[in-house]
Amino acid sequence: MSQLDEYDNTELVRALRGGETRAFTELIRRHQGRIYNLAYNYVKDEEEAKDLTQDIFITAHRNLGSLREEHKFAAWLYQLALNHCRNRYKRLQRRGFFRSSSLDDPDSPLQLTSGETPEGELDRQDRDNLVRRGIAQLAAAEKEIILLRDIEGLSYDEISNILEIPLGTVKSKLNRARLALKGRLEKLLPGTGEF
Amino acid sequence: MDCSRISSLFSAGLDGDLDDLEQAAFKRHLAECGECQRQWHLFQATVEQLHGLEPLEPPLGIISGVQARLQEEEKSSPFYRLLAFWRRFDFSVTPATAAATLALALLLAVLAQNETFFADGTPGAGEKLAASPAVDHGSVRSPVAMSEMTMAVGGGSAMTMAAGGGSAPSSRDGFAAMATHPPAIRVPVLEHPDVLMVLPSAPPEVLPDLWRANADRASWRLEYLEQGLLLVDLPAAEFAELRRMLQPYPVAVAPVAALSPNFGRGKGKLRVAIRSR
Repeated sequence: MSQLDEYDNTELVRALRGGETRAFTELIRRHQGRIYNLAYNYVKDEEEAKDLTQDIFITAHRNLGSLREEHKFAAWLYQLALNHCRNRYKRLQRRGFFRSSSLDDPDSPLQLTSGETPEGELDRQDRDNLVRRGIAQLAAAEKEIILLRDIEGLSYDEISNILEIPLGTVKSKLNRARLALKGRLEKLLPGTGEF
Repeated sequence: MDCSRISSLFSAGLDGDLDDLEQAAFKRHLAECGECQRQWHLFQATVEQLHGLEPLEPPLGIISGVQARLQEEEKSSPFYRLLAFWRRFDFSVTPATAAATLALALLLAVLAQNETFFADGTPGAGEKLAASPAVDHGSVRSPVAMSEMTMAVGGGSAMTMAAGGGSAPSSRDGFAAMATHPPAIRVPVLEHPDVLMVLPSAPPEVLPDLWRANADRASWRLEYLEQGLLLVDLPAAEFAELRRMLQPYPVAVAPVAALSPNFGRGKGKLRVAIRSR
């Protein structure tokens, strides 16, 4: 029996197409962390993120036939993931899901909630939480480009492929997204006197 | 370089994407403009925060959840739905069900035998040929609207239906010509006879003679429907007399006791269809 964990993505996709169902389990195992983080940072809700992650992999399994270039599995999976996240976010927004967490108002400044001390140093978890909330409040296009570049660490070329926009546009959009996030986090970042 | 231009270069400045000239202008402006310098620091801190985010551990159950949902999807495919639908039925057989089924099968077999029986078509063989019972006397009895059932006579068990106008099935001669299938007998169904008597080897004048000889009998009503077919309504008790009249010829009589109570009990009226060739 072949060792699937030694396969790269391309080999796993080929194995899956050849009827090796365990290859898909290996693909999920390999990518679930990234996809879950992407989903969580998009909607900022654990249950929704878990459900989204499962939906994304099920869609991937269902639509594997539309993946023409096997070596682009990761980029294809990110595309699927972003589409799912976008749709889910819109649906949740329509239902007023984010009203309590003020994610549906992109202009509202971040509010410190109980457990996050305005005075003194925030611990890492609280700080991460604030940053994630800041990301979640961004407009979809800004959010996506920050998630892909600054959280997932993808190259500009990969982002250009995934979002299907020119390289220059990726860079300019990323700059605008970072500036928008800076505006949201401004009061909470070190050196501002309020952090 | 003005302040609005500087912020658009923040990412490029961070990534080292600025060329030498831009880099120099960028640095010069930051050194001269306190607000832009502050914004630049904030920008750097923002990106640092982003890069420093601890990745979240995915919750347990994603793989098993996906596998379970894929299996569900598979099960909901038309084939699996059909299989599931089929599995809903309980095909286990209890002794009572088996006994009832067996009894029903036996009953059907007996009834089927009553419906058709066979005899050698050879004249003088003296064996029964074929018969068809029917019990409803109240139905329309038009000779024109007669339906006929063609029954194979002999060792085979073929039975066909032909309807309308009393037209003879074309297979009649064909059957007669076949060595293993003696002549087919056309049975008038809509006339609803209780008993059918078939005279496969009697001469054609037998029925007209029988009709003439008994036309005046008060208790009998004879109707010569067509050539080779005589319908006799008579008391069941006198059926034996009719049999005696036809004694010289091999006669097939339907064992219709199960379906014709009058024939079985020998009481009431009987309708007898007599068919000759």
